[in-house]
Amino acid sequence: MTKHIVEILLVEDNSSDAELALHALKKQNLANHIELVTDGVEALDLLFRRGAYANRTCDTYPKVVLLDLKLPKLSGIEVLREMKADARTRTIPVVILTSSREERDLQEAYSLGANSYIVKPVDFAQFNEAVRQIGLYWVLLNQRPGPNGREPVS
Amino acid sequence: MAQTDHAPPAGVSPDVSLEIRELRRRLDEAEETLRAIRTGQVDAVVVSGPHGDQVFALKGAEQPYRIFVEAMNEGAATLFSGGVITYCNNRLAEMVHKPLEQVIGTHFEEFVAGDHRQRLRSLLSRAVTRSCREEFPLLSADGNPVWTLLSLNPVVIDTAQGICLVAQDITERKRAQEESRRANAYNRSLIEASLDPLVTIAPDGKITDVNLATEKATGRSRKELIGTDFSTYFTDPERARAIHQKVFRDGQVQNYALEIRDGKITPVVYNASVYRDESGQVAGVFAAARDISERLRAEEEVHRLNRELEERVRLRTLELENANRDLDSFSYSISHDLRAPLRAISGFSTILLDEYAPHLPAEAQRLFGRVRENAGQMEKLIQDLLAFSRLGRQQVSKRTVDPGELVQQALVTLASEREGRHVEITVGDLPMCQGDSTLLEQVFVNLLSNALKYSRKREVARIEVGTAKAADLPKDAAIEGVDPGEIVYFVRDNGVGFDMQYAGKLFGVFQRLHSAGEYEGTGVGLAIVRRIVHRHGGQVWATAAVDQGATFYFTLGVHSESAPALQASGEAHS
Repeated sequence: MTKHIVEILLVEDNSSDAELALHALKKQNLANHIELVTDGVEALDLLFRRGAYANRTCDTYPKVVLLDLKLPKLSGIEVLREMKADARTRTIPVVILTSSREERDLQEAYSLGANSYIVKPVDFAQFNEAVRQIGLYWVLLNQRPGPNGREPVS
Repeated sequence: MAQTDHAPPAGVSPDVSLEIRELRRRLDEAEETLRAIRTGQVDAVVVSGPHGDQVFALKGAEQPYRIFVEAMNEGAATLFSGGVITYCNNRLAEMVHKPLEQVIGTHFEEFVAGDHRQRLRSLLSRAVTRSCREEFPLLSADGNPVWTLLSLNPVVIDTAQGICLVAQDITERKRAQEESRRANAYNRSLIEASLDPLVTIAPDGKITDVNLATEKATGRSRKELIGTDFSTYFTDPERARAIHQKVFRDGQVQNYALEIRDGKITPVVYNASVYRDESGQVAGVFAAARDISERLRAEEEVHRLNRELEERVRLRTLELENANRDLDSFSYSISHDLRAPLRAISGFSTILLDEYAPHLPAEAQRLFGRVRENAGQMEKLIQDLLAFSRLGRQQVSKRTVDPGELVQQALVTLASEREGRHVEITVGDLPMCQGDSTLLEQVFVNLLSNALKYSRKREVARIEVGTAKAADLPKDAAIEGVDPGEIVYFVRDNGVGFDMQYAGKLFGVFQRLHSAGEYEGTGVGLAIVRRIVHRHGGQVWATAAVDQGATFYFTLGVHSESAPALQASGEAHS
């Protein structure tokens, strides 16, 4: 059984977007504790130690979840709803990182308690900058409740 | 004179006896005279009086009767031998327009038309024994029958049985009767001609008269109907009676819904008012019950059609909503799925350029640059297309807006496009209108952005924003379907313009009249303008010439108050 420290949970089904995001985070030296999952069910399994992640021991929750909206199985909105409905995951900051600039998605995400909503820029320079700022802010600057932001897992 | 021999009783003095004899003689004489007069044996009477004897000739008594008979207004005649005229007065001769001598001696039958003669004979035979009266038309020599009332009395002269006949001219009375009959028949025919069942009802509710329509409506003859209670012919007799009482109370009732039952049920509208006799007393109720089954059927049909229409509208709305949902998910897919590969193309080519440039020849670097540029252009296209599709679904929330203000805001938005250029912009008076300010601002942004873009090569770019009454537009700018009184907004520039033969493509999505290399753009801006204007119920069009600038016009359904006449004539052909 390996011990994992996950600082950033990236939920992204598009491998290109995932690779570009990881590339950008690596440049900021933030890639060490990134976990990538490719659908909504896997994201929740990881967070709640279920399914494939049932045996994983980890005493921390991610510092931030970068959540795409359009995901296989369970959509980003559904993942967000479950996270915000559960006391264990409610305080984890969620940054929506999506291609959609639809007003409806923005409304829904914020009303469910998303902490930020970023539209993925097509231009890579802008994309890089966006990911860099997300990493800097949520992983390095942001403070969360609990000892050092770390809470024991049940 | 006969002498009666009555000896005076014995023991009476001779003087008294003489006197008694004298008195007896006079008595006998008087009785004799009376008998003679009665039997017509004498034609004069001598009456002794204190002033001596006086003679009354019977001729003297007959004279006034003759005068009466000749002077009276009625015809008179004596008939003997079953009807032969033995005497008649002048008046009767006048009535039949014949000389008197031709009338006397003629059978009375001759003056009566053939079809009345049988009746006359019967009358004459009766009149021999008793008085009779009957109406007959007398034939007249001038062709016009004279209506008369014949009064006949039996008379016996000597032993002959005859008839005294008096003929009263009743032409006037007959004419009046006929007139009254005609008037009645006319009134009656009107009542009978009415398609509405009409009845008169006595205060106690009994039917006193009906017309044909009533017979039809109830399926009963007027004989059956008259005298029966009117309320029994309605499905709700109690209500019918209550209405009847109300008529007496209020003088009339109008438009009461009732149903007549006659095997089938006929819905009617009941109208009634009281009518009065000659003295002004309420005599009863005159009521009309109009069959409204046809009307109700028509109404029901209208309701049915309305329901059908509503159902169709509902289904269409549902279809539209479904279509909109499909469009929604389509846009969502475009927005999400189509951009992801673009991001990858742009991203990976950027990484290549950033991190592997030293290993790449200059031409490879240039080509990767082109890849990035195109990815960027496609991103713009997708964004514009999404904006355009969103517009179709967006609610247009109209309120009073000041277009002048919107133009100013648009110019602020476009400030960067004016940087470093000499641009003269004039904005005229723009009347207030009803519209969605966000959308209308987009219209001005797009039109002004175009104007700035295509006047870029002018030393001094001139842009004019203003309004005109449709009727005042130059001929080449006039367009069908716009009221002459309507306000037209325009944006004019002195730019490169375009060839009018391509004007039809101007407002299409992704349609461009200039190359992207010369003038950047995706060809969605004017399509957006058209969609917004259409959603406001207006029209948009343009006039231009190559190198002569272009003018874009649009309407928003705003009318100039100062041109009501033009407005009216405009509505006639619109």
